[in-house]
Amino acid sequence: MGSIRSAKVQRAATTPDALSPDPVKDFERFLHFCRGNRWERLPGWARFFISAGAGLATGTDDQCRTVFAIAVPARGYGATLSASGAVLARAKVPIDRDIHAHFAFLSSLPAGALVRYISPKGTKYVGKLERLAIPDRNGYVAFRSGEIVHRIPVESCCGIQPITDESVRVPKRWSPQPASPDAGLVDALLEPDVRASFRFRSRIECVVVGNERALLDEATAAPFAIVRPGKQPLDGRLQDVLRVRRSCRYGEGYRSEVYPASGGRSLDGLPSPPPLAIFDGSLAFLNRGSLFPSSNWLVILDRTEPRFLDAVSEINRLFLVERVESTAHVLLPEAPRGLDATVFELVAQ
Amino acid sequence: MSEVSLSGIDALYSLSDEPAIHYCHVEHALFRAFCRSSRALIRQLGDEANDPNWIDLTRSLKRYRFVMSAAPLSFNDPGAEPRFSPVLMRSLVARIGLVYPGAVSVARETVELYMRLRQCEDNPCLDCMETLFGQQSAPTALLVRDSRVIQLASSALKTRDALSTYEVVGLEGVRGKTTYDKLIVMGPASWYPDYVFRAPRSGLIYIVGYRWNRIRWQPKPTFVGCDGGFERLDEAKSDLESDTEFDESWPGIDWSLIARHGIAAISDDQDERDHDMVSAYLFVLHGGYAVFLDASDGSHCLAIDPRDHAEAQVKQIDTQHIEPGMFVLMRTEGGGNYIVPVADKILGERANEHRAAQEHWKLRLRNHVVRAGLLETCLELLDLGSLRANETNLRNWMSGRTIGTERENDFVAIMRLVGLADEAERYWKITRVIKAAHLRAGKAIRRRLIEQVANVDVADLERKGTFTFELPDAEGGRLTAFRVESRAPTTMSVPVSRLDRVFARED
Repeated sequence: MGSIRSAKVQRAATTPDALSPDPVKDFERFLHFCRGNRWERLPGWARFFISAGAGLATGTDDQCRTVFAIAVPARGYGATLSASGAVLARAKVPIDRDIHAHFAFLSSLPAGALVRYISPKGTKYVGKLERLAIPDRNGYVAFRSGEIVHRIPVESCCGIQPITDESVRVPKRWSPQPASPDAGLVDALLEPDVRASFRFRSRIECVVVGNERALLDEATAAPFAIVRPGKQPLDGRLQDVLRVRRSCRYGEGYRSEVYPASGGRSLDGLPSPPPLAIFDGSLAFLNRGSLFPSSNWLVILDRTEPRFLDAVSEINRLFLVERVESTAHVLLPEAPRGLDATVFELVAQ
Repeated sequence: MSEVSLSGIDALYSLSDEPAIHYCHVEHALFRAFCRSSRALIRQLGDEANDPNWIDLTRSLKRYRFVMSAAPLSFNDPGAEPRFSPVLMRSLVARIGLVYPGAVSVARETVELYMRLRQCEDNPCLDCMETLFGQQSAPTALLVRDSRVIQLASSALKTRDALSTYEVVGLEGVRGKTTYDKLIVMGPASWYPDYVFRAPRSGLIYIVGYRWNRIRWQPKPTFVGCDGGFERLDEAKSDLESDTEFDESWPGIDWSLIARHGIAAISDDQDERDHDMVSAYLFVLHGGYAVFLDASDGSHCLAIDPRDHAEAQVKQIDTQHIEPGMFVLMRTEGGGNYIVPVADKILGERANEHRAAQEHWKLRLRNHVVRAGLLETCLELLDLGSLRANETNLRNWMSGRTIGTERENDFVAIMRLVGLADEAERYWKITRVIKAAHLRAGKAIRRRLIEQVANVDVADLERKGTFTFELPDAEGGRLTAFRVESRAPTTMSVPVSRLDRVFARED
């Protein structure tokens, strides 16, 4: 009971070559949560969500997108675990460095805009944008940090990102700071060379729509640990992996964002559609489903919600009226016993 | 609100993995005869069952049948007396014999059976529960379909020592994160939403129902694309209910009936403007209550959303965004509006004078509209400098429920229209003072409520469905939070005086 319609076995072309170790598999196997005073391995349904997020984030296709809807007995941690799986699955995918596009983007920022720069070695700078120039073909971006003006060559300008947290203030004296050595759970999941890029470079791998406060609490407050046999537990938060943009410390790279189910926040700052959109709850899906027409969807519906049947009706309508046959295959786990799920493809818009 | 841990969520996932469901059949010959007879009457009447001559009788009999089938009450429970009394029933049957000769004998039989039941102390459902379950040390809940009978069921359970520790809950009591060792469901499974069994809050479920009702749960796939294993699973068990007579659905909410009774029930002797009609949402509330809330653009009310984070639970919310599961805060004494009395206290000695001034220009405006009509008045206002005069806004500006216009130019246009141009500045200042007082009142009430809600166990609030907050008089007085159970699918036109006033359902 509850198995999805088809178990698809072919990986899509965008999936990176498998590198060892597989951070998603390690995350599933070794992630523990706190029960009472001890660490306990994740239950099967939680591991399922990690796999589902990883599968949907890596199985992308230009023509079609996958909808995976699942009915659960209670909301809680499904969306954040799926998003964590999605982010980890794409952790090793290099971030396209379109230097010229990024230079143009920085040029569009107002003078004095707060920016942070992470050097290739991970040193962190914060300052105010001064000027961008390409004299004699040697382009640079200049920003002032305290008394010092730093010139960053165009080739490294992708390390410069605007700071969107309005509470950040640049002190008059600022010393460059080495990147924090503590990356939390990520320290136990990614190799060092991948880790630096993961922590300090940004790209939205997935968005989660739902009860903002509940989602952010799950990401930032609930304790987790990577517990490998024979090793000390390495504790942290899901945020270490998720890197929700608004909860990142300034200077850190982000990999996901959270939006409210009931509207209110626009989708500013999404330069391109994310590979995966996760709708946590019926309201999130019904209110915001139209906003990600080219992303894969994971729709998590709590059976006890008042609008559950409305959301199911909409999923069924999409299945009956709009689904398409597709050759894009997404590797998805079988839903745990007791859960109903469905998966199908729609045209990517 | 306590945030739920992963271990708490895990417990709910574990329970959803095929809970054990047991079925307990109850028998009572007299009640079976009554059910059969009342159904035969409705079948015989056909469409005429909704005829004004019959509707009160058929509705009352149907309600009694469903209540007795879905709650462990004795047949003579005084709380289960329908609106249409037995005396009226007999009188009706005696009168209409000539007009409906075919149906009168069935009607007479049904009424006589009903009268016998109303003299009968038997409570077979309670007897069944006492025999089968007895005293329970672990948390045990009894789920009833209709929140209006929760109190009655609780009282019935307390008459048996062995059952006195059971908790009686409505549908909302099995939506949250609270779990039970045992859950007893009263009545057929089909009367309950699927989540009771697919997202259960207990690993042991007992469905207790009369033998002539089909009480078994019939699982169905949720999504169209899902496997069809459900039918195969249940085929072997379908023959066990071959002796059932009835397979009827839980009756839907009769919104028009609730609305009719609601408008009639609330009387407001002094209100001269009772003819002012507004568009309203009708909400059914926990415990057998209902309320009309203003559906105009920008209307809002104070609500508690238990799903939100602690700091954000108490909020002013647009009435169109009120959803089942939220709690709306209402005054149940002294009229619906809790802001005005608090705002008047803030205004102090100026309150009477300012309110009188406000009413003065509104009355002039209303009188003008009566003479010239809405459309003409709008055009005149536009000519006099208003930018937002339209029929909807004009109705709002005239209404006693609003303070004034948003923009000064609209207000000045009104002053010019009603001959108060020389005093426009004074009246505008008064309008702003009243608005500021209302804002301060709203904030004060909300602040006090947040403090009190922080001390409430929200899981407890969700189970009980209502809660009364005692605020200082200067900050709202007594406010009761009612859980919203459902909303009418369409808005209704009701007198403005009916808004925000909780009334008992009569359906």
